[in-house]
Amino acid sequence: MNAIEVIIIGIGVVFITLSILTLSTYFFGYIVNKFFVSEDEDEKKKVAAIVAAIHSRGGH
Amino acid sequence: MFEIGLLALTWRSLVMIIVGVILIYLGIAKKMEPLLLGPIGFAVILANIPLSGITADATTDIGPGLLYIIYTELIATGIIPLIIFLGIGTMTDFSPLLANPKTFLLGAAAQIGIFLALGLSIILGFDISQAAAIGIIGGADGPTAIYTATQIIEGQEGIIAAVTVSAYSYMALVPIIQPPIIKALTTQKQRKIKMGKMREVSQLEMIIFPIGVTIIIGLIVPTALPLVGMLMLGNLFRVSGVMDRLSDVGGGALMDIATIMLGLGVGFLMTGNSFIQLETLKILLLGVFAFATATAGGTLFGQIFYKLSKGKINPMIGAAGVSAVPMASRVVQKIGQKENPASHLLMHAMGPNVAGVIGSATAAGILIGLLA
Repeated sequence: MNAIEVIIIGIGVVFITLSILTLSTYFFGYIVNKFFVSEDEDEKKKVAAIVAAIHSRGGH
Repeated sequence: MFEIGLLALTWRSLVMIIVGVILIYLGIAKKMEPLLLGPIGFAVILANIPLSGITADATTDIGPGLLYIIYTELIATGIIPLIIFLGIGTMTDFSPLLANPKTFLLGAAAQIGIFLALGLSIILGFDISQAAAIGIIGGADGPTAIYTATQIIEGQEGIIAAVTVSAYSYMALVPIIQPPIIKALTTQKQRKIKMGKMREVSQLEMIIFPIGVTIIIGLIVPTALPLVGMLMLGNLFRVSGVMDRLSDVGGGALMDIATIMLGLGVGFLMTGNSFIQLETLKILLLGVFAFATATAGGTLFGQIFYKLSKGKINPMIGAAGVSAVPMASRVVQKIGQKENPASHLLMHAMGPNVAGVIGSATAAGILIGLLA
């Protein structure tokens, strides 16, 4: 396999995979919010999830 | 037979001992990744003092040495990088990505640095496997870089060492490498853009996410599964709400143990004979190129988002698509706030930032699948 093939396959598969993840995340987010999350869920919980602290990765 | 080490000391070993001392200095005095540079620097000193047997392999009278065992059993097998990835999963908050899933694509765009560096490495005379190992520096992820390099170019210790040192060093230098590139590729008006509030993310979404990502990536790029699987397992510990003990251990004691082992294993690789080569210098320069083009790729894709959103998305967040978490996000936040004190881009940049972690692990899996 030559370099051009590796580059084209590499970039292509990364974009395809992450595009599928994008669509899947939108889809499951819609389904979950439409059917499984009640509107009166504790507001504090949801806000806490959004603003969860960004932890250091310990140098990695 | 007893021999004095001093008499066997070569100039290459002496240079590497000095390098070890400098790494420790940078870690302690300059606070540059001290948790890594401390053990790496000390291990470099250990590995370059002659006749100790600490790096000797099993075929020698005094071997196998401690550093040899750590490297061959824990690093080259991929165990330690994968345990570290599990720990990273326990520390990573994917909710900004869940709130804005399209930023996955910014994480993908930033991986272009990997493949451009691969191409340039070929031009500079490396073979395709070596070039892939060098290119992965552009993934801006230490464990991914060392895991990929050990899988693709097994036995080429000098190159593996240079790739690892380059990946970790440049991660520490993200605040220096990225700003000029971001500023060159965006206008002041764009850098001032203040982005709107992100939507709320439920716990159920956060629990489904690591399971779904593991299944999807595993089915598309099976060779990425060890990295992605460990990352997502760690994240499941974090978000489940009922595995706090596992989360604490994975991101705490276990991660610290793995970090010590990684440092000692990388130090083993950095012996004078294998590290002081012209190739090492080339790899260090290619590492800068990989980081720079990854940043440029993400920022330019951010420009597409800017156009499509009619100016609502700040293109700078694309630069955070390199997976140096959270340094790249902090760089974007800092530049944004300098231009517009009312702008808070940190959480918006965290979306592409954590997508970059998934993107670089995916790219690593593709390279391993194609070339290992």
